[in-house]
Amino acid sequence: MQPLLEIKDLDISFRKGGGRLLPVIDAANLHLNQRQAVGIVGESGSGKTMLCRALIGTLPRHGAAITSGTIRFDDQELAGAPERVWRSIRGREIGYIPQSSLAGLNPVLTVETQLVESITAVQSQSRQQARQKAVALLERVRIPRAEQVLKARAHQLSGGMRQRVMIAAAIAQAPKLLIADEPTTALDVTIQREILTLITQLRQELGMALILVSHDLGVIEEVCDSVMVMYAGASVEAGPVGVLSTSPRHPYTRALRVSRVDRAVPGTDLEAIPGDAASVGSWPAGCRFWPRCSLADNACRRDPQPALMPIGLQLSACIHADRMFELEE
Amino acid sequence: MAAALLEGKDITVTFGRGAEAFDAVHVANVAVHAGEAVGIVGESGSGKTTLARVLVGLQRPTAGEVWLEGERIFTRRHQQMPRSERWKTQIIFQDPYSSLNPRMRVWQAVAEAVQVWQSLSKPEAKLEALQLLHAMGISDDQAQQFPKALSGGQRQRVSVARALAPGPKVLIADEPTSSIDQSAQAQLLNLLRQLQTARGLAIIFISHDLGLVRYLTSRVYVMQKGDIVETGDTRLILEQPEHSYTRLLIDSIPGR
Repeated sequence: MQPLLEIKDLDISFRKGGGRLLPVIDAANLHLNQRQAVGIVGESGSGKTMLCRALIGTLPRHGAAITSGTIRFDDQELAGAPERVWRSIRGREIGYIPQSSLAGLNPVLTVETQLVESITAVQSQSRQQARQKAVALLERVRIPRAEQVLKARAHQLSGGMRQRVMIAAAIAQAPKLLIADEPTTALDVTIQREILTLITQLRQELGMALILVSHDLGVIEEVCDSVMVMYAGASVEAGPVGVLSTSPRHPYTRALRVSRVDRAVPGTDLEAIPGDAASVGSWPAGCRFWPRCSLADNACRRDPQPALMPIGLQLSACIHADRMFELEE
Repeated sequence: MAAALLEGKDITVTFGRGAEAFDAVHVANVAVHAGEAVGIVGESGSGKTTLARVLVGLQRPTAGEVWLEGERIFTRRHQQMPRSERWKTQIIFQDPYSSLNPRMRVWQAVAEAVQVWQSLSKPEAKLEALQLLHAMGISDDQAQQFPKALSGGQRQRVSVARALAPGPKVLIADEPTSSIDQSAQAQLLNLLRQLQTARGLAIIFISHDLGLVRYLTSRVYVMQKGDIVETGDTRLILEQPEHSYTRLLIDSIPGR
């Protein structure tokens, strides 16, 4: 089957003074079929949000640029595509719920003004038509009393309600792909559960594929079919969620899993990853995870960041992917 | 059971007046013993942070009393908690980005707290600050930096070092891990657990994360809209919740 989205060896750098480049993404890879859901997990600074912005063509205009690699979406090449092409993709083909979207609504405008704007921005139609469509969209995201909510401003709505409005705007054109960047991070657990359920329902109703960005493996395991793990700008492991959670093939994925508090035995220490996450501008030479890895040897320190290689049902960027069992002792 | 170290008795905090008045905390009773870790769980707006602020003396209760080591130290009649008691209860906050002065070097932020509570000379306070930071895994190099050069997890450990400066008996941790990365969470939680078991520090964890509460605490209070709706042994409550709200919280954990 032809994938909906295929990202290959994508590199993104910030341009610094004197023509220097500061890489923020180096070797990102992602494969997504129609109607499938993939989760991207990684810590702050790993490049998750920058990757999302590359997928909707909103990299900081004078700052960051794709320096190599390809983004193939629905038979089109999007890496380096001109703004004219992006206008036919953004919002229409790929919907986007930005991070901290709770702050994404304009506080002085009503929900109606903002939803109608996002509808007429891509489709020319009368205000009345757009308004009807806005009501239908709010109902689609299970907002009761949609007519009343249309007249509301952001401060009158709860966090969960605001997130539903943002989702309504993102799916207004029934896109083929929805990207949700940390959609539940600032929400209470009960509301988080409702929003994740809604996203799953909408995905089935509209036949959308989904990219869900989260730092929480639990959230991704609940919603997604597969997962891609990012560390310091690189894809380090990818595969079906069930496989990665039971038999990870990269030490970082394993560490993310065993350091989780909800699986720990009370009264015992958590298995913490030593040190701090490699931050942009100070990636170590060699495999970027080696300073925190107990499997690291001279090859890990010497050779460049390993490429993703197939092992079993997944892909791993660890040259010791066959030695994970040693970490169990 | 021995008398509680810190206790909030019938705490009520009312915000607003007249028809607008509402109880952020409504007749809440909480207690923590020496060396014990208890949890207060609930969602935003449940009153858990307001209750914590009363316990450390940052918020005057509308009614009720705070008792520490068998003495009543804080009620609505007190302008503030007496200084002779304040050092005993310290708090760390959710956001390690806003709780440190951005224009103070890391060691200065801790040395300042040391000097407030201990009569030490400047060089002595610096030495003490560096030792506290060391114990939290912050190197001398990092201690020379400004907070913005540190990661979220590192900053939260600096906050813990600062809170430990007066040698408190109770530490209140208000959502200590919700804004830091997962690999840094484990480091911080291991540190807090060591402080509790090795030094006998009493810790109150305030969190919406039931996984964290299950792992770290032996007793838990569940709050909803200002009321404590359920309390008891953590494991028992998570396995057999009696209140429907507790059950809803448990069912909402991702991956269940």
